[in-house]
Amino acid sequence: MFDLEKAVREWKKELGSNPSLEAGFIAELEESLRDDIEELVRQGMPEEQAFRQVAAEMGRADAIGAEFHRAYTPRRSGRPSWRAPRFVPDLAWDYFRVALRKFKRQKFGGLINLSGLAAGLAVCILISLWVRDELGYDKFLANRDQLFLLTIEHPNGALDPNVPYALPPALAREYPEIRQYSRIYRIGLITTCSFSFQPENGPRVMHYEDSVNLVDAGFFSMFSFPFIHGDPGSALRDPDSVVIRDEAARKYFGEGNPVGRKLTFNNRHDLVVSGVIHVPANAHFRPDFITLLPNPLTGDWNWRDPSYVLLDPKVSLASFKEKIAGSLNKNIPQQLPGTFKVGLLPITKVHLGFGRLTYVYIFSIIAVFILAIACVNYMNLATARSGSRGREVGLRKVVGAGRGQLIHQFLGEALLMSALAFGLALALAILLLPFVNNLTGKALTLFSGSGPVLAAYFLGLTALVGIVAGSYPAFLLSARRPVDALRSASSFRSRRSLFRVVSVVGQFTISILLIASTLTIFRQLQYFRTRPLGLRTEHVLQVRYNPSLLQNFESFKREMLLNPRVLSVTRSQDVPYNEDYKTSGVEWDGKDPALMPLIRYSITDFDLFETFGMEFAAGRSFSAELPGDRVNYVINEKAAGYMGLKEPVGQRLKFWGQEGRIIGVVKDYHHVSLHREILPQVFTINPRFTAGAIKFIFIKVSPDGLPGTLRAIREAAARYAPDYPVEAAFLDRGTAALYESEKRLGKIFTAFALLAVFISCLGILGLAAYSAEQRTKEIGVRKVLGSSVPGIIALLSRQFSLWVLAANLIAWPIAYYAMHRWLRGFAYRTVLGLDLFVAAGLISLFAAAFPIVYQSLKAAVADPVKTLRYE
Amino acid sequence: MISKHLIAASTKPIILALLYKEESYGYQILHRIRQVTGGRLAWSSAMLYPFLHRLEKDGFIRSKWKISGAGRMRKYYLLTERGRKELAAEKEQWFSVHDALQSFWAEVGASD
Repeated sequence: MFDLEKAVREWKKELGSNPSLEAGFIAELEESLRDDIEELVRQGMPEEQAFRQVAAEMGRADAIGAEFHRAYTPRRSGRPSWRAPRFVPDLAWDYFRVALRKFKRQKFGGLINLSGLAAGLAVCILISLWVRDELGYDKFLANRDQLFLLTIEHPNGALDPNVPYALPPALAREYPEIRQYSRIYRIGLITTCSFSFQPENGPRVMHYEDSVNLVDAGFFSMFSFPFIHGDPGSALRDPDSVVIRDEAARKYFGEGNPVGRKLTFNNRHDLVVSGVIHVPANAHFRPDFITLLPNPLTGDWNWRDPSYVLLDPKVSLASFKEKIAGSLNKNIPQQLPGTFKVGLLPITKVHLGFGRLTYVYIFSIIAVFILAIACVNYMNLATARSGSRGREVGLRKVVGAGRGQLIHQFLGEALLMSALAFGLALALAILLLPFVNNLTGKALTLFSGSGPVLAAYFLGLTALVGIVAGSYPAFLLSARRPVDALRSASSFRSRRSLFRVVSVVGQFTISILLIASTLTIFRQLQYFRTRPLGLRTEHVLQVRYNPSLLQNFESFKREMLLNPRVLSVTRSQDVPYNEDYKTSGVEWDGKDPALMPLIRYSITDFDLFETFGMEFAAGRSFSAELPGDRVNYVINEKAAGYMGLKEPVGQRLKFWGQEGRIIGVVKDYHHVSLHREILPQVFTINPRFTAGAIKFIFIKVSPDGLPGTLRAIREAAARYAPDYPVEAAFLDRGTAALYESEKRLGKIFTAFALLAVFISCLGILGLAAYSAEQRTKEIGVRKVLGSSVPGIIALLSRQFSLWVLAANLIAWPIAYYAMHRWLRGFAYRTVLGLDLFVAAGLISLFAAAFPIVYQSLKAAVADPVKTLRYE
Repeated sequence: MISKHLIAASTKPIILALLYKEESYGYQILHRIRQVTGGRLAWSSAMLYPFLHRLEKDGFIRSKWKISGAGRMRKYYLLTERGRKELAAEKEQWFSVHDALQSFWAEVGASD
């Protein structure tokens, strides 16, 4: 039954809670309320409903109170005197002092927090710089929105950045949407290219060059590389003109303007420098030499090089893509096995388009993870330490601090901390930048280019870290009731917070993931190193071939072999493990006529197999004594299987229309790093093919007296080809370079893993310290009652060990999945054993055990008399 | 719906005018205003009472407690001498606004 009197009493009591509502005011309001209710009841409304309606219309106590307060105060938006101001300047100073005092008093915890945040931020800064650089490739190009790389999607889904030379002209003829096209014929990659410049006085400057590119006339209207000298419009007008990149120009001409100077190509052909360009470091294509394609190549359907097209800005990309998708199958004269889909890749995506984007993602995620670990550590330590802040919170609340103020205070502390950490991180990043640049092969800088944007980003990052790290402690601490906070400073410190468990387990999960990844990468590298490649490259010298040596190769070889330290001499298209030339122009008896074979080929000379110590599975090597061998072939085991030849030796084989016999089957050897599968391969020494293709001479020497041998070889090469530079180097370095990217990845992951473990250990060190501190009395009592030091250590470390074990259980499947996927990218790979994960787990456990045991030991050996007197 | 600002501006002259003839109390004031304006000027008690207090503090009205017929205490408000002067001043101001508006409305009407 509704009791109006009681309801009104309650209502009055509530109004009375507001300081500005005096008794008289309330009485007046009460009369009004009663009049209103009477009126409504007279109209037939039930009493209870009338009361509720009227009371609701009158509003809540603080609203009415504020109105009354405003009526009595001269200031228009006056803050009621009983409400704390939003900002008290004196208190701000006090907060600052308290923060500093806390930091000083708890140097240990403070330093852990600071260094953790600083390390996390430093990594974040460095990765941000790297990611920004990666994402900024080719953005400087004026035509970037209309410029595309032509791509081919193979039937197996692989994306190929190269298209046949004849395809772009065919497309341009058919589709007016293509305004310009340019093929990049990378001649420097398939034949020896040398340039020489004869100054008026002084010796000739000669160099071999790899980045020599033949392009179509429209090249510079597509790629807006800035010209230092010369003019982009006319630079390629003359077929004998060449445009050089500034760094290459410096090698030949020094600092002056070389436009109009004569540069001799392979000692045969004079070119005139018509321009010098600067290519920014973040261009995916950085040509050193550019000259016109002498041949339209409209009938050449081989593909080995990239081509670019400039589209009309009005073209709808999606529909144009659809139009050209089938153009390769349509135009190519041969029958293709399956559909090869032609596509377009925007120029700004080319750099990241072939697998690199994954790394950008992975590193960004790692940056976020490491920063998250650092933030979580801050939260943990701040809340763990909050026991000591309890009294402060209580007292502040008693003298009138609102929750909002306390939240501001603690957030402010976290922001101060993150600002300090950012300062440290910046210093750390500057220190580490040279190493990062060394590792990534970039020239990243902190203070260049878009300064304000970067500064704003870093400022935002710092603020975000401060707010994220500070939010949890701020809300948790400020929520405490003053009575609890004052009664016992430790009322909730012994509570095992779920957040703490999750965060410790979480950060160890991340650390273990990184450790396991690092171990896998190193194991794969180890596998590379120890797996027999099938050929030996030790003490093999690689000498650049040139036209002069070509003329005198036989006598050069003879002279070389007179030296007792020279064991064998051969020449070939490329280093056997590096060459990747494929053809379909091979025929053999019993070949399915519909099959378009894909076979790797090697154009070489006598003694190749001997020089590289390759073994034969059947038959024999090429023999100089048998002139007929010039037209014979050697194949590898894979080819024998591919061709379905049971007795390959003696069988007929046709290579590029030249018929010969298979004289030997060489054992399979590995190619271009273990990413690639061993393919069927044919070796030919036919002089018809060797002429332009040979790029290197390989000389196997005996290990003793190397410097002398090297000198003798250089001297002879210079004598035989005085008009060419001499370039000779041992191959071992080359094989090392094969795994450069994996090695780099290994180093980067090691750094990340170390850092993650370091930050996690800092966190656990802090937590262990506080857990030991909280249990000081308990430990004292236990010791007095006869507990041993190991017993106490076990007691204190049990919990943490369990957390780390749990982290292992979570991390293993994720690491297994991720590494399984990574390894799938290698044609030849190591196995993912359980031992690897166990090792990662053990490392994490040891890393965690160190700080825990250290803290526990400190607590356990403390004198119980002192610890019991503590507090 | 009359805007917040207009209501706020007109509250003072309306209350002063209401109290010109006879003293009154809060509930009655609300009632009268609702009657006169046909409910178009919606005042709430939460707004009226603090305003009455402000007028009293400013010395335009004063109040006294009286016992009503039903034996209930009621706080009555009556106009002071200062309040009368203020009312006259307000009236003058409102008339000038009214005149100004009147002539402008005429123009608006002509151009329509």
